[in-house]
Amino acid sequence: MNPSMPEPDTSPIAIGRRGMLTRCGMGFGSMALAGMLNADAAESALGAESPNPMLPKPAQFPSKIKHVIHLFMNGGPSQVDTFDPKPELQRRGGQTISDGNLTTERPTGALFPSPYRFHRYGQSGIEVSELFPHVAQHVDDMAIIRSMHADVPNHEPSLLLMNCGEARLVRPSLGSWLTYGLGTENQNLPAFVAMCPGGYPIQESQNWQSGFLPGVYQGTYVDTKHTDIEKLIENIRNDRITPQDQSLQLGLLQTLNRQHLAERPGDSQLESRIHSFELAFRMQSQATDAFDISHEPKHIRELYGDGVQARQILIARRLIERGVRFVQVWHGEGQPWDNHDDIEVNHRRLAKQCDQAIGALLTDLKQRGLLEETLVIWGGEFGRTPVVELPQKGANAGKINGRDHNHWGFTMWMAGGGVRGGYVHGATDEFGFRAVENKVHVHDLHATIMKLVGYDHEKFTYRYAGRDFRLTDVHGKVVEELIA
Amino acid sequence: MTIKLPKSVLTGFRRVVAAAIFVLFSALPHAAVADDAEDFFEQHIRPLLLEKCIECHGPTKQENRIRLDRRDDVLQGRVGDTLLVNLATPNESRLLKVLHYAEDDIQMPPSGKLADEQLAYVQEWIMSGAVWPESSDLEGAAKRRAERWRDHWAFIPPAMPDLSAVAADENPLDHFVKAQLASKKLTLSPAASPRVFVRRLSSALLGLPPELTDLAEAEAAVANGTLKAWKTVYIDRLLASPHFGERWGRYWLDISRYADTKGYVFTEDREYPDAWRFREWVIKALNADMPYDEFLKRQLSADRMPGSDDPAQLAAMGYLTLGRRFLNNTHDIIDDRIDVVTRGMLGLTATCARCHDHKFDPIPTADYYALYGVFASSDEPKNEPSTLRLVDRPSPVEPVIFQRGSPGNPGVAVPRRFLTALSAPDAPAFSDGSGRLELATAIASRNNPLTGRVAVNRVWMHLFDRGLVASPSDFGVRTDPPKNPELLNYLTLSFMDNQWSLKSLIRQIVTSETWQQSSDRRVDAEAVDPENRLFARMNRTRLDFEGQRDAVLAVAGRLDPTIGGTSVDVTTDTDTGRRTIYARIDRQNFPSLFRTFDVASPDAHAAKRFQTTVPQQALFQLNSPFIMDRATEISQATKSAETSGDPTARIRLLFQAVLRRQPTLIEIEQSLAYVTQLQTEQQDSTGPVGWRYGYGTMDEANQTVTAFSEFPSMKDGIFQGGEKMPDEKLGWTSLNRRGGHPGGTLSLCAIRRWTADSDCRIFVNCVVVHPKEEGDGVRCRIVTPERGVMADATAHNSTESASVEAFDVKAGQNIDFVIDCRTHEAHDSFQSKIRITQFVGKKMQRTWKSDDDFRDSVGAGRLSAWAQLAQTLLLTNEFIFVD
Repeated sequence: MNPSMPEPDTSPIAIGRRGMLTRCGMGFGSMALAGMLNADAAESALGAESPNPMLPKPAQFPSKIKHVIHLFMNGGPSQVDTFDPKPELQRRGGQTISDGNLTTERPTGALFPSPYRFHRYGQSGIEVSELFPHVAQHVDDMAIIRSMHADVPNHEPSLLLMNCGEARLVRPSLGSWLTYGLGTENQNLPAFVAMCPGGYPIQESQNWQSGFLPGVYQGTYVDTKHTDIEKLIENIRNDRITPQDQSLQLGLLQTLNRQHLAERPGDSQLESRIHSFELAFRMQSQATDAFDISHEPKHIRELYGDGVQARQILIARRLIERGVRFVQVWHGEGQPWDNHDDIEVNHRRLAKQCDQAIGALLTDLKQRGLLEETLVIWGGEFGRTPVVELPQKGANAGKINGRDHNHWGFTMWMAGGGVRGGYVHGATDEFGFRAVENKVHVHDLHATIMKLVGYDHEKFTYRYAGRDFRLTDVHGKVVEELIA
Repeated sequence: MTIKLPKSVLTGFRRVVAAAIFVLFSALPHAAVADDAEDFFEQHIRPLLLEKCIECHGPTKQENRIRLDRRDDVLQGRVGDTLLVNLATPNESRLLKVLHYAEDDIQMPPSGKLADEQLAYVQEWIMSGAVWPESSDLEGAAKRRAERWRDHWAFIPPAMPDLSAVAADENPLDHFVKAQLASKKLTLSPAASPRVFVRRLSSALLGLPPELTDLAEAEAAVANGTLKAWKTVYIDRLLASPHFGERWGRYWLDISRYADTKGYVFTEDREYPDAWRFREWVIKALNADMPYDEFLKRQLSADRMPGSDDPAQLAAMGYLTLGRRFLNNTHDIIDDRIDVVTRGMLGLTATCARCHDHKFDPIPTADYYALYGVFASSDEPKNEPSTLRLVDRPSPVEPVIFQRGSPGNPGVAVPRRFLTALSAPDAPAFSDGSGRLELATAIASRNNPLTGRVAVNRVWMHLFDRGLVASPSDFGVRTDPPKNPELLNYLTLSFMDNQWSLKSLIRQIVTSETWQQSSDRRVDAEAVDPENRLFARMNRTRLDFEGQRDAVLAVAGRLDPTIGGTSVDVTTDTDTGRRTIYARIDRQNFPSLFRTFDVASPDAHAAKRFQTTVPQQALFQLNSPFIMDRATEISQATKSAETSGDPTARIRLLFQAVLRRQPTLIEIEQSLAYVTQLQTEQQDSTGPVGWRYGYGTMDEANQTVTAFSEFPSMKDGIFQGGEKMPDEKLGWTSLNRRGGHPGGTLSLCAIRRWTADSDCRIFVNCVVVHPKEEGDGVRCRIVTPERGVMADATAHNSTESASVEAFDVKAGQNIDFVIDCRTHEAHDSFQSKIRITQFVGKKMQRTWKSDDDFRDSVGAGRLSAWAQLAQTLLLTNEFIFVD
């Protein structure tokens, strides 16, 4: 009800139990649960009796990266209109490809040149289209993969492949794997946050599912359409008990609980539940703050710009700044980048919604020294064809000005700690249809992300239903060139 | 490529190499000098081949036509033109190359590169002439190895252990537990107190807190010295309770990945409208103690069993049909069914065999497709009253193996039949329709070594919080035997002997000393058995989500005892008293509340629940309307003439209601101090905030509301004058979530009162709908004590709106939304929607919405000190954990 909760050390509980709260600051559990922070932590964190499976744990080998922000352009942005310039496509627009088009979801026709101009940026001179002028300022910090490829030209399986490494079956998402492995650095906020304004993307919550991992590792979905904190996080506020009352209540609760515990010594389940109430109490003020961008100074808000993209990308920064492990930022409900027609207008509109904010994010992270410890990933579930999509009955409304899905070749980029900046990896064919040089499959991307974060993707496994599973299943090869 | 050799290997090798050189250059059969080389083979090479290679390159399989179990096949084998073992240039040996795991080459073994030391052995073995004693064929050993699963404990039929040492009045279960404890010089703990026993039993069997009368009976029985007899009666009474099926049914719903929806579908209807019928069937079957073998059989083949014309019985097949729909991909739907059957009923993981032979368990791909054929031959009939059932196709599918799981890559045909490892060698293929009934019979069979054990282990797990076998749905060869195999064998056989009666099994366990012992810590046992796997004490257990929510409903007197019925969305209907098993489970939008509380994911069969402790659980308990409303109800139930002047008496009643015991003197003191402090503070503060629902008089002269009173009664989501409408005093005056009805005079206006919680600026908008031509409509006025009527609107067969732009309110200030009947009361039902948007500074802080915020319980404003105390008790560890 009252947005400003009392400071911890002036609240009545804290006065009574200063010692307890000292233990429970940001480094919660550092004394009581010291045993959890050893090499066996990952193992024991899964045990039924584990006090808090989210405590921070080391990766398999040292890595600078502590956080991941995945900017998901759901629907599939077109590579030849964004980060993969194709002079041959421009030159031969209107011609048909002599050996025929590759099979995609729908019928396609002649080569369709990009309506946008490309410019060179940075010391590396990498070309980026006019759609992303703000992002382009950062090419020297970006590794652009122009040779991505996936398995099929359909949204659902491709989204699952990109998020969970498996197109059909229920498997944990990348964010779940990482929070399972690493825990999180802020026990007052969810470890894995998936933001999408207006509702879910296609395939819905399966995109951030924990699969067979414990439910606690699933992404916490937040509808960033809302500005109201109570909608953003359920039960975060209480209209019927004031914070003052609640701190008294917590005081009595913990008194009763400790008396109960005194007669049942050595039961860590009881202790961990006692601690969880302390955390919840603090989360009420912390979460409100983390999601409230009005606390940002004006110049930062102006840097990110207006609109829901700016707001959620700025929230992403506030979250990782507070120790959240994995933040996925979806462009919007459904599949906004899926421009089967009117691509010129629609891609321009969509890029305009997020370009400034993404550029601002990279600037902002760098200024704060956070880019070093954050991996930023940009891309869709696949790309789009360099050839025009032909109208079909019941679709396109007779328009011939869009592009079809394309899993044969597309572009993604990464920036941040450990990523080789100013680097272009791989290439598509002369028209931008199929990845042909230094091809990177989605499994390879996952293997590389794992390596960047500190894991050997082949050794990061979880035993389920009688076998050891991993994000990359039996696939994936680390793309060493992408690593600085 | 150089390999660093361990020192011991090198020294051991000098002689071997010398011997090998002798062999090579003398071209003579190796003689006595080669003994060392033979030893070397036996010691280092033979085990390596057996362990790493023979499975795919041995007597049963020769992948890529390579065979490594026979001397000549190895020494003369080739891949194309390349020798497997090249004695002239050993480093050119194909065998060595693949072992080196070069990036651009085949890498063997696929499970992972050999250790450097092992590689060194192979290299030196070849360099020294690849000595392979003629007598040492691996074929036999490899064959024995391939059959090794037959020795796996779970595949061996259970044998009745020796019961001769069991005393006449001793539960054999206790005998086996005590024997193991004795071997570690341990004993069982003393019996738990009668109180603890009663709560433990009630929560284990019914998933509910005990009745106060049960606790009183137990105490009386102690006094009379009849406790033992009373316990027996009590156990039987709970086993006979219809709530038993609700608790144990939920466990089965986890196994059967129950959900009310199909998961992601593109455009088609995502509901399973009949899903609840399966749940109902499960609950009834468990309550009736249907023999477990029949219980399983009906879920697979109710269409072929007695009662097949009864939709209620056919609903049993929801076990198969209520899975995810995978965008209607048949192969995935069948895969899900094979999974729910094999893991759910047999404790075997068969779905790996979709793409390749099971790595560890004796489940070849052929077995998978044999089952695939059974389900591919079973259709869901369209347009039927019962949508859950399957029927056999007129002509069954003759399955073929899909190589690497790909339907585009069909391989050899396989017959429809049961898993080969669990069948007699000469068992015939299925021939009765799809074979589903035959499959059901083979699973629900006494001769099946897994089915009974898996069931017994699960029952044990639910009663002890830990199974005898740690992986309840995987009894494959990599699963360790139970710590106490005799115990599991005994229980399994006696379970099957007792007509597969789950209730008898549960009775046998809960009557044991082992189950009835104390959960107090045992420092002596911890040293030997830190995880309590020998059961030297009872495990303390945390209530699962169902247990917690149902307990809250029960102690608030709100539990709806209706057994069965359709699903209810407990996340939005926070006022429902339905037990949690009836909660609607939406597979695609699985509520975060359920995830937060570790409810089993409905995506696939759930072997067991994770148990996490996260702050989001505490947030729900601290702040959710569900908990606060129940706390309010509990506190109101303790408010009476007797307790009005005696807070200590009320504290006693609260403890008794929630924790089912009397408070200690210290607890009374602490609670009293707390309530007193809260009451003092609440008097000093602004009183209730947010919405209240009442009636009052509109003072037309002063344009203010006088005599506002909250409605005394709430029924079916409507605030009203009493149990019945029209009420004697208030007539039709009422308010509900979306509107209400004014009374017949201006002293009976229906009033929503909103109270500001802080100093702020607000925007107010109220939309009123009067949907009828009859009558003269209603009037809505927005009134504050300070400013009188600020806006008004009259609706008659129309939609009207009244708004107030930006005005400042102080904390505690009221705004009334007053609806009156104008001149006629008739036809005055109205709808209304109010939005109050609060700004602090320039920032939009939050919005209050009359419909979303509506709480259908009396006194939903600020929680009274007593309600807060009740809530505190609901949050205690004592309430959530069972000793």
